[in-house]
Amino acid sequence: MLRYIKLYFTCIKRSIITRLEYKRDTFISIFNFFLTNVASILSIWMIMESIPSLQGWTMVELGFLYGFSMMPVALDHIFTDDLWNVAYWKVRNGDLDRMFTKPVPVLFQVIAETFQLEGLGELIVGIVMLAVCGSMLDVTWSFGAVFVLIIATVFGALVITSFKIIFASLAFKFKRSGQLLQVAYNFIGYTRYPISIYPKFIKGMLTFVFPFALIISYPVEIFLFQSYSPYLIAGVVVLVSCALFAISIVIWRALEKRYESTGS
Amino acid sequence: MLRRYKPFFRAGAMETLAYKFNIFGWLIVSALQVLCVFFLWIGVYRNSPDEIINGFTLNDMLVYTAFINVFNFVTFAGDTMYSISQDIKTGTIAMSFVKPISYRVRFIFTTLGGFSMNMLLLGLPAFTILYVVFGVLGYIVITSVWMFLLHLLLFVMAQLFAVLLYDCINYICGVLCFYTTAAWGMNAIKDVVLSFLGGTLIPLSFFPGVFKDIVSYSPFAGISQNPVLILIMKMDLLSALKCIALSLGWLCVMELIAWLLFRQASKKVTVQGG
Amino acid sequence: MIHIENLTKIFKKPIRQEGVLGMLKTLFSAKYEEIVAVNHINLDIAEGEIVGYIGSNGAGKSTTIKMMCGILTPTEGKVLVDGVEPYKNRRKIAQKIGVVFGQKTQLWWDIPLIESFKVLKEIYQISDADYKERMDFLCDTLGIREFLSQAVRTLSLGQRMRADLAAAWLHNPRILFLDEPTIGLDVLVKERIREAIKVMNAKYKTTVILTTHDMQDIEDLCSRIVIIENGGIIYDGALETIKHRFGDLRTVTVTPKVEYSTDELNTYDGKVSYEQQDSNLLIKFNADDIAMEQVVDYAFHTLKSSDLKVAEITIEDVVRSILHEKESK
Repeated sequence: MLRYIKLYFTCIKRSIITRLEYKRDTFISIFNFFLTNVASILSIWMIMESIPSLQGWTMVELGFLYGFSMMPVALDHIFTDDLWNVAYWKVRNGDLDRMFTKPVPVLFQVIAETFQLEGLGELIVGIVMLAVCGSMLDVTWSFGAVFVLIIATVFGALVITSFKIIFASLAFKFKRSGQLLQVAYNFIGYTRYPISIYPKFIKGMLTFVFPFALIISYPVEIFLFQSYSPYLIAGVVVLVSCALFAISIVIWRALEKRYESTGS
Repeated sequence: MLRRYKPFFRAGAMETLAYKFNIFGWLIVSALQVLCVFFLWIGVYRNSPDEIINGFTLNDMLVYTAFINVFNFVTFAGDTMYSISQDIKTGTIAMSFVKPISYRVRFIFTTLGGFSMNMLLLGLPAFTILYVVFGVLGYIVITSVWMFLLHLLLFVMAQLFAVLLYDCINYICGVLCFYTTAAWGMNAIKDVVLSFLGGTLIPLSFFPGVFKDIVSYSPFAGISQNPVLILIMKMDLLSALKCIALSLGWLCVMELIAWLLFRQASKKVTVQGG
Repeated sequence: MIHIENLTKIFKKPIRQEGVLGMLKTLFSAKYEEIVAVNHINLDIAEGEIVGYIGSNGAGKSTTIKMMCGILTPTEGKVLVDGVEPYKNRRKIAQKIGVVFGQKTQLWWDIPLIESFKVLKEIYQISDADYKERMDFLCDTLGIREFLSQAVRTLSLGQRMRADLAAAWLHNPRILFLDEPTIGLDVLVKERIREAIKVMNAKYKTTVILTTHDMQDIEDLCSRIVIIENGGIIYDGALETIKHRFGDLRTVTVTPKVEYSTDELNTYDGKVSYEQQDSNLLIKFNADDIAMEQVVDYAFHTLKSSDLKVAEITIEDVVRSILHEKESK
């Protein structure tokens, strides 16, 4: 265990050196994050401009929801970005050969490959949005609520990571699963609207199949409307995320065996 | 002259097929996603005092959502950007300078091959099914067969320009990889810009004031929104012709930019020695 | 050290049908054809040996090596590397092997070389003392010290290859797989790399398995060669034996200055054969059957050639001869 922690930090150091070496790349990464969020926030804003309120939610409340959703997304982004490359390119290229000849689990090597510094910026923007919209809404930062926020951030990130692992590991079978991963990942976007606008079927899907509502929609309602018990939600989030993570590891391990590098 | 590019067309089609074996999984997940957007719009319209928002009724919006998702997938064909970034990384791009075929034209044909396959596999069946379903529901009203056929014809033209424009943007992004190794970041930025300014996230008529005019004259509108508006007959024939002309104009400009950029960037290769 | 028994690998490949309709068919009901990449091979390699593993492209070389590394799982048969089946114990075996693929670097592209070594130190859990000792030795033998602080992408091909070799040797593997380590390098660098491999093999008793298309690599390094063709081993033994099995075959390349046609040239009762290649003429013969002077004399005086190049047998010639021999049986 200690060995892996030490190894992880060595790899991270490596990743950060690379980052600093390529300032232009870092700029592109930050710009990408900036554009993605501006486009989604503007879309929500333009929709809200055309109607008085959405299911009783105001723009400020939606801003709070958005800030909340950025937290787990940012955390996942910081630690596991290379899974995208696996899904899109690395299996198809045979780039993983290198990792398969090392005495360390491949998934560990993939996760340790990148450390996205700019994800920290994303985290800060999320916190600022929570603070600004929160103060405009007079949200009470009770102990329970903050507890839920932290749990939802950390274990919510684990849920997102698990999904990325599952869909990225499909690349071992199909050679490329990037688009599929992208579509699954997009479901996070639909929790950036009040979940009450969806019919039962979609709600169920966002709770049980792609449980992003669990880590975003329900915890937010604790802040805004005190709808649920914070400890109940926190407990469920922890349980679900750990179970999902375990499942994702099992799937990855099973599919990893199918890896066949390119060429003869 | 163009015959020598035929293999690339075929290769594009083959490639598309080879990697679309997961197409069924993709279809299911995407269909669920479109469903989410449907209900999002239903929710929005339920909260609206007016039946028409920015020129769209709820029915229009559902039709628009369905078609734009299908045809985005069809249009976003080819791996031009990935291939170029890969060529740059491995240095094989130097080979392209000595081959008797144009690096640019080669990619156009590969993309067109992939596009044809997408059209055949997804575009045509989805178009038929959606048109029949929405027609029966009364969401799309066909007043005269001739008008329908005219729109269809214009759509085919608009769609062709859309895929050419898309490939050109892909090519430009690929050539920009001479200056950065963050191909993945470039790709993500391209996707965001295309879906936001192309009208996939929300129709461009939702943009406020002067921005609406700016974005509807941008090349991105011609890639996603305009072909679909023509197809679902939300655009009259004259505007449709204007849009197609605009796309053609943009295509010339973008290809010129692409050419200049490549010329500039390839100097870097010769200096560095690959 | 390595024991291979009945090893077989079959790849399933979807059959591509002709035309658009055919392609569509494959989408819905994919039929697969089986490609036998490696066909029931047996092989034993002892500790400390340097074995040349030879065959044309697609003969099954890489597939075998990948099974020995644990990247691919055999369809049938088994591999034992140091008593362990690699594909079942990938991580355990990874500690004992080093891999260099000539075409693809194992190093991190964007960071200074020394940082890559530091990461590898952690990955393989190399102790500080071992690390220092081996780094010193590798730096001297391979001459990589002067570019340790450069990013890998700025290195020349030869420098990168030496760095890759050092990286593969850093954890003192029991077995080293070198896939075309000298490809694309100039003669001086090639020699340096061969020298280093010899020195390191002697010092660490590392078993080396080497694939190459370069006869010189084999002559300098390998006491034994294994030739694989169409997935099967067609020769396993000493290099000298195979080289002279077909006699002392030579090829003389000349540029004749007179008009000639290959049919009318003097074959000395079939002892000499001719082949035209661009403006050159290749004269092939067995130096055991006919004296070299005779051929050279003929080339200079009758054909009026101005220059002349004598070459020994190439790997490709050997493989071709063996295959030919098998066919004629």
